[in-house]
Amino acid sequence: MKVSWHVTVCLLVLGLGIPAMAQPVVIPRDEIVWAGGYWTLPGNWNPLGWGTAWGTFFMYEPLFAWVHDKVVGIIGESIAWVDPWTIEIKIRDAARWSDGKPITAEDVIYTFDYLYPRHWKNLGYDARRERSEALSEKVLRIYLKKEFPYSRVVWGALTGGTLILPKHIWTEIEAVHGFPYEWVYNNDWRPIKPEWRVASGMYFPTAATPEYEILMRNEEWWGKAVWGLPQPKYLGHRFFATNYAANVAFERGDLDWSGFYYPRIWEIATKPAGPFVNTWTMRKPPYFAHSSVVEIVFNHNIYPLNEPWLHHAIAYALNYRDISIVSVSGYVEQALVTRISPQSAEGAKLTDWDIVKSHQPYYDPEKAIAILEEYCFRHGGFWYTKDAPAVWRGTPVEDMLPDVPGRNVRLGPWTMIVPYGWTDSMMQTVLFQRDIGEIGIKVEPVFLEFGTYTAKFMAMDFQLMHFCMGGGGYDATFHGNYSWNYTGTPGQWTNFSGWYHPDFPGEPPSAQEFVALLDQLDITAEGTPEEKVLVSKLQEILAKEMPTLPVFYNAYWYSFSQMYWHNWPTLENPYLQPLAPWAVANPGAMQILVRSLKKGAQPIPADEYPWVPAF
Amino acid sequence: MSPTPFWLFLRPEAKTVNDAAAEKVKVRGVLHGGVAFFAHPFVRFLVSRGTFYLLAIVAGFTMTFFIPRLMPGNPVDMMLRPAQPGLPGLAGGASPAVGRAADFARIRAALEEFFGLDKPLHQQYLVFWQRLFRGDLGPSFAFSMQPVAEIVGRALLFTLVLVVPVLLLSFYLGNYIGASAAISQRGVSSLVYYGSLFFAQMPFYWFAMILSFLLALKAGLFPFYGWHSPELLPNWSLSFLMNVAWHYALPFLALLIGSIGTWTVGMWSMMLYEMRSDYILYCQQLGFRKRTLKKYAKRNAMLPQYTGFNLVLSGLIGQTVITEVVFGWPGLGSLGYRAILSRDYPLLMGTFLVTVVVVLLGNFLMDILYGLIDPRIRTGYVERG
Repeated sequence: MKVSWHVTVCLLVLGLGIPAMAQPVVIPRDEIVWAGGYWTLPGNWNPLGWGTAWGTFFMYEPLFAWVHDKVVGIIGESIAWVDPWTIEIKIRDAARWSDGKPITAEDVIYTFDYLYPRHWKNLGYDARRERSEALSEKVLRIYLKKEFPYSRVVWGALTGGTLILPKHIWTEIEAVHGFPYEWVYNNDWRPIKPEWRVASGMYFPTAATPEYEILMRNEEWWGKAVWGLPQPKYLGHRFFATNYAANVAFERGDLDWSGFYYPRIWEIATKPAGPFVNTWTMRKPPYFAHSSVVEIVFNHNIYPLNEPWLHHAIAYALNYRDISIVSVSGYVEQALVTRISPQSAEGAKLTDWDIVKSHQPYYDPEKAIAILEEYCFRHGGFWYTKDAPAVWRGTPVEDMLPDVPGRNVRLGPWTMIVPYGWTDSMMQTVLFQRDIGEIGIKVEPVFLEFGTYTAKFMAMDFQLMHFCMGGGGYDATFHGNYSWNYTGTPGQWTNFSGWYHPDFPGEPPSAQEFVALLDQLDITAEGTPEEKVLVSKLQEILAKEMPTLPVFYNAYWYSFSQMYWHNWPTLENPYLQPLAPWAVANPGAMQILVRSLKKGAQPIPADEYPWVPAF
Repeated sequence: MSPTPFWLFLRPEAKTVNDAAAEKVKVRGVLHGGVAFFAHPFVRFLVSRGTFYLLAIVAGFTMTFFIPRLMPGNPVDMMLRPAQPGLPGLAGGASPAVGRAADFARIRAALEEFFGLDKPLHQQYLVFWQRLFRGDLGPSFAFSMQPVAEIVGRALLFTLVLVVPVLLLSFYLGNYIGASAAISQRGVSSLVYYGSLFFAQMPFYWFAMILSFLLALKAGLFPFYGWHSPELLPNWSLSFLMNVAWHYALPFLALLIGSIGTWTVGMWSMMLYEMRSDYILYCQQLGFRKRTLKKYAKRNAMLPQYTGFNLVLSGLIGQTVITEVVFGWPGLGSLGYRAILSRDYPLLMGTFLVTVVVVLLGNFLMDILYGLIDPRIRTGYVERG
């Protein structure tokens, strides 16, 4: 009895005494910026691997950042065309790695020419590059192949989000881990050899669990001499299993920088963080800037889903405003028929408004029916084409009504696939079904688990598809966006509609012409009259053919709270474009944002900036 | 003569309560002891149940191997999804046809080879078992190539921390409430009994969300999400442990309240049955005190409850999965949820594997314990033997 009593006392002393002696490690709330919305979990700060953790984009730095339409230096000081086949880059003299060694031209060449071509990054860069040369420790030149003068692909890669890695460390890492070390090496900052903990950024990881990662300011950051140290001592990113949990954290002030969808955001006014919350448009509808394009993708391998008249008829059938209100609190606006948002720098500069005016669809079901009547006739409650080709892309188009003269193919019923769990997309698909049904074409939404959805579109195994992926908004370029959506081989995360198809290059001829023009645009210098002519031609083809139907510009989920930090970019303080925590394509801009934040609470004056409900 | 208790065969050299058995062991030697050991009915029962569970585990593992592979799609294609396509200089962005198709095919082939997905299915299956025996479940896609075994091991700990105390405490409380309600038939105990029944019938995810909404969001009594406040970094300090306990309370309560009713109803009906049985009525006639009668009845009523452990454990694991997601508790449920969302097939497999092992191992232990606790079952083994 006595023994057990003593044991119990000892256990109690140990159980309570040791914890009582240990000091809690507390991060003061006003020292940390909490972000949320990036999807990859922490643990791997390897920029080359798959699933790169958020903090990586603050540990390493790119050469440049895109700020609105300007290239702004980070590690790089300047970039310029020496001639149509030569780009010269100057690296900042102050730029250093955390081990004190300078960031050199060799590091940049190693990153671009050796590391990235082995990855699913900067595709097409290597195919256009002839060679690279370090002119000095801080100056390098990239020479392009003769057939690719002024290549936008190369320029985009060099000025975009490529994070530069230290050659003297990563050659060692490769020697130890072997190929393909890029995919398996976690670059785990804490347990690895101290001599490998070398980066150039202003924050380094200090703590990580599957729920969050926290980075601590690098007090020895080389940029201190150029811009000064960022005010937040810590930078954190939190993960939430549900959007709801993330929004509750935001309402309570537990999240400063949110990349989550928040329904009816004007109602946040009554929550604890309400007085401090703001969006890009200063609390006015539509609250958010334009993001990727929400579109209806037609499978061009199936007749008559390839027909432009059908695309136009459907475009006039949709009640855009109603769909926006019902599915996403009215945040999204109808997309231009030319795809690129006029909010983007290129969109503002190069959108051909004459084409938009003459081709932009709007909600007009009668016009939709008039288009159908021109190409189809009604029979037994369905539309049938008045004629059809005998064969489309190698497949015979069967007569469906042999008693009627001509080849007649029924319009629908068709299915429209959409990822399950993307609730706004699912609701939009249901509303598409409603509106397209109103003009007599039956469409059935099919909600698929994302893996199945992906497998379907990679195999071109769908009829219609709700699609909302890919860049847009402020950063979108005509070349980048068009090439991503309409060129390449279907099944390789590109060219989802199969409008242009490498196996059937002449079907239709407009797609062939589009791709040729796009390749021409790649090698046309920016700001030239030739560029404007080319971009207009591309827009005209898209407006007439409408190979996919751009329905909305999705909203760019950037919102923030000034409960602890202020000086976030807004429409009235546009030192940066709107930037969500998942804007990892432009890490330099994210770094500029964090180093621009000021400490301290600053409520948004409600009388000056009241929340204006969207409806 | 009663048969030799099976545990005596574990120590054949011991001088024991059963002299005859000990003498027999001594004479015939260790070999015979071994044979006798395996001939014992309870050991035979263990071997038979063990074999069953082993086969169940093999079947479960095989299913976890094939299910993700039978799903449409290729995990490598998911990995190759560009982060933000269409933007300048990013993966897949400014890349028209030139160079793109070849790059894609090359990287895709390299990754398929790396993950062994280029091999025929039967070879992949063999490799899967080879790796399993080495404790290697492969790298996680969602957790950036970290070993799945490590991630799942950590999550398992969080799940067990919830499940085991809930299982034991709900067993104790549920039986207590059920027995008290059955005896008194009125008053507070009956109220508690019907209350626990009410909570047990609620859809679990809904109940968890209601609790979270009322107690965390509205009343602010508990934290809403996670296993500790993110401002406190994990260490062994008292304030951190208190913070974890504070976060633990709500998922624990949600599971506990929902689980009590399962035991209560069984105990209630068994107590009613026992209290009307002949031996209790006879004792009543003899003038036994009510307290004593209750004790006898409870002891007998309890026995069937032990069989419920298996069912409750399996159900509780399923309920914990949902509870973890609702409260952001980083156990197997949250992990599995993330694995599904991110199409992380190795992690999904790892989560399934561990869940299968936990459920089956739990059931196996319950079978053994039940045999030890209930003399009738023990006798049953012997009689069958």
